Amino acid sequence: MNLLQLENVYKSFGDFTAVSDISFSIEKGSVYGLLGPNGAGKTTTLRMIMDIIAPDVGSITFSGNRQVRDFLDQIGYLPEERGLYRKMKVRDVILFIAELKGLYKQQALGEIERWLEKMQLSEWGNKRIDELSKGMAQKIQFITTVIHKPELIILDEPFSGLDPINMTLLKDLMLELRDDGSTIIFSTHVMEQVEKLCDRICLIHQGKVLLEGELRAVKRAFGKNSVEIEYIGSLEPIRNSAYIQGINDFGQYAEIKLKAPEDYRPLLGELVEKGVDVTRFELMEPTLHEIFVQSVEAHGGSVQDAE
Amino acid sequence: MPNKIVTVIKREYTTRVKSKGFIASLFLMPVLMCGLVALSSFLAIMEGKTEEVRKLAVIDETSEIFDQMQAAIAKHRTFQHKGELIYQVHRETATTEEERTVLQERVRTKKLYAYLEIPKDVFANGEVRFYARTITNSNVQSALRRIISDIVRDKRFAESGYSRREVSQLMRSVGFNTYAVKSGKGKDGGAKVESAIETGARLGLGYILVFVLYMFVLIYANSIMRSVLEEKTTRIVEVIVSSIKPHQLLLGKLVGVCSVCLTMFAVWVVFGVLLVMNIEPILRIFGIDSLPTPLILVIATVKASSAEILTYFFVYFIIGFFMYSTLYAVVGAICSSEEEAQQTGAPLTMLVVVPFVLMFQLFRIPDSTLSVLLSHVPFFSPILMFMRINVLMPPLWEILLNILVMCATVLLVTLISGKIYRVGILMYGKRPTLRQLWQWARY
Repeated sequence: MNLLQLENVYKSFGDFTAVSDISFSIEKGSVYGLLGPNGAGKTTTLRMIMDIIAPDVGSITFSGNRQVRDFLDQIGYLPEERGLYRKMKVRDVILFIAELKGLYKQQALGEIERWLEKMQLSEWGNKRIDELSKGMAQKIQFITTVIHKPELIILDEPFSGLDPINMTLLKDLMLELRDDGSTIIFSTHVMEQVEKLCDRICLIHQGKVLLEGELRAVKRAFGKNSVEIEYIGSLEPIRNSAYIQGINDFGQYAEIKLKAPEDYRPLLGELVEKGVDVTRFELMEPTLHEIFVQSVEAHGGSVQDAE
Repeated sequence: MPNKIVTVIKREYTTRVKSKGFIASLFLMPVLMCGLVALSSFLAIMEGKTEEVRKLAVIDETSEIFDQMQAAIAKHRTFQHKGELIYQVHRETATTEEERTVLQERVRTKKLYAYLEIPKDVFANGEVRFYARTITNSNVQSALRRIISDIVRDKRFAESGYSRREVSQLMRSVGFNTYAVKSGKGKDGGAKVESAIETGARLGLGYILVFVLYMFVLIYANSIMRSVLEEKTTRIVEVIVSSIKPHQLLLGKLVGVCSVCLTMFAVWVVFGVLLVMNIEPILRIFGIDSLPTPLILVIATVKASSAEILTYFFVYFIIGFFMYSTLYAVVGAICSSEEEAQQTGAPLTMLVVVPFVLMFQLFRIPDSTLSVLLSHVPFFSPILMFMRINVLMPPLWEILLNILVMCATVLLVTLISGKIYRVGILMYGKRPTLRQLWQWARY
């Protein structure tokens, strides 16, 4: 069953079209990735889902209901730029947002302790936000996003600005929340995270959908145009092969990008013919990063915008 | 489900009431005001106190005045401190410029406090000259002037064959008491009148309240502006408006902060009422058993009129607060930094400062067309109409009309501001132009 559905949504600000004809749906209990370069319309889309701004045209439904505003307490939102009331104490800030999300004080207090303990921040509960490190403040902000056990969790660029440890922590938390039945939609331009997390993706650029679908299907559609090989000796003999677009050589291991997906056969023949001692030869799916860059370029964008 | 506006109100209220600034001003403001009164009376007592005796040289060219003058100074309170004479008068002769220069030099080097020159023709129309390092101590100067004038007059009277006593008896001026005629009936059924002291007491109370209104509207409207800006710059506003509507957030803020002010006023009013009600036992603690009649009248006036004045004060404060604060909230919403907000907010400050400054002129002519017209300009009303109520009560219909117009203004301002606020809090970067603001207001 679809928890959230967007159909032909448009939004423009004055002469600027932020979102143009976006449609997608998110299945309950899945993780959905909204991908795109900066300024693609991701944040606008997320804001429209929460009815912070209204779409010009199109419909957004939550559990089949068009009045998303009535369900705001079942949505948790982490905005792209982080911040909390600097002068307030940690527990007070979380309690404030929890109450805004419809929790009663008693309920909220128990949840706050549970989450602080989980994040190993219990001793920091009575400190003011401006006394915390950046990482801690980010954790507190994540707590405020999920404290009310929302059905839908919306995370805008959740991985930006996180150190590797917190990135892993966040990824694990997201999967945990999904296993507990929450549905997650997040926007990002860090592709590695998407590959590990998402069930479905939507790639948007300049307000338009370039690609939408199940992650595996999207990858399959792009075909396998990379080969990974392990070898003994040197790759020099095939360096100038007509089938190879590029080589990333690590000495005994190399990633080879093919000119066309079907080129792997002649390449294998050439390797054998030229006497390269190959111990492993594997066809690889394209990374999402490659798909991302290619799609953006195909629509007249540049990789620099996208990064 | 908990009411979310209440959640916002609670946060705005508790974070402010718990802050050191609030607690400090709660206690410090009355202490400061009392302290200011105490300080000025202390200074008045301190005046004239000096460690050493002040020497006063007199060049008496008439040779007739000095002795009488010395005797009069010895008896005059201005020249005493705690019952002891601290001014020493002695005669000098100085006829040449050089001798005068010597005297001036002695004044300059503090050997002399001052010297006086009484010319020969002082009985006709000669003028006395007084030289000192500073001539700001007007008490001493006017006492000297009076003493010398009396001596000179006595002589003139004697020469004309009158005694000073007879003349002053004949010359005394008539008593002149002023009363303000009020609407309504007095105790004895006649017209209700108010003496100058009563008017003064009432106006004094009114002035304090206008000042409090002015100060608090400015301080707390600014506080709201900064709070809106903080929510915007930390982006927490995005989380909040994903739970409640922007206008609910704005309303919660205004009500919360307004409650903070009202709490402070309530504490002061209770404190003030207790003080005024128990003024006699309190003064007895300080060893003051009986009050002078004017002071009793002042206290009675404050007791009688404060309920009405305070009622109007609260009405005008609340309306004024919402009127100005909503505009300041918009400034916070359309700016992206504190400096930018201060700049943008400056013209708004004029809306509060202008009526406050005008008030000092208009209170002399409370029933002039200018005063009446200006007091009906919505943004000026909280201060100017409140001033008029204190000075010369306008007809009730005028007050009610004014309150109605102000409420309508608040409603209109809130509607427009709410729309701009809604868009502004989510917009970053360049401050919008007036044209853009107009567009936002029409969304």
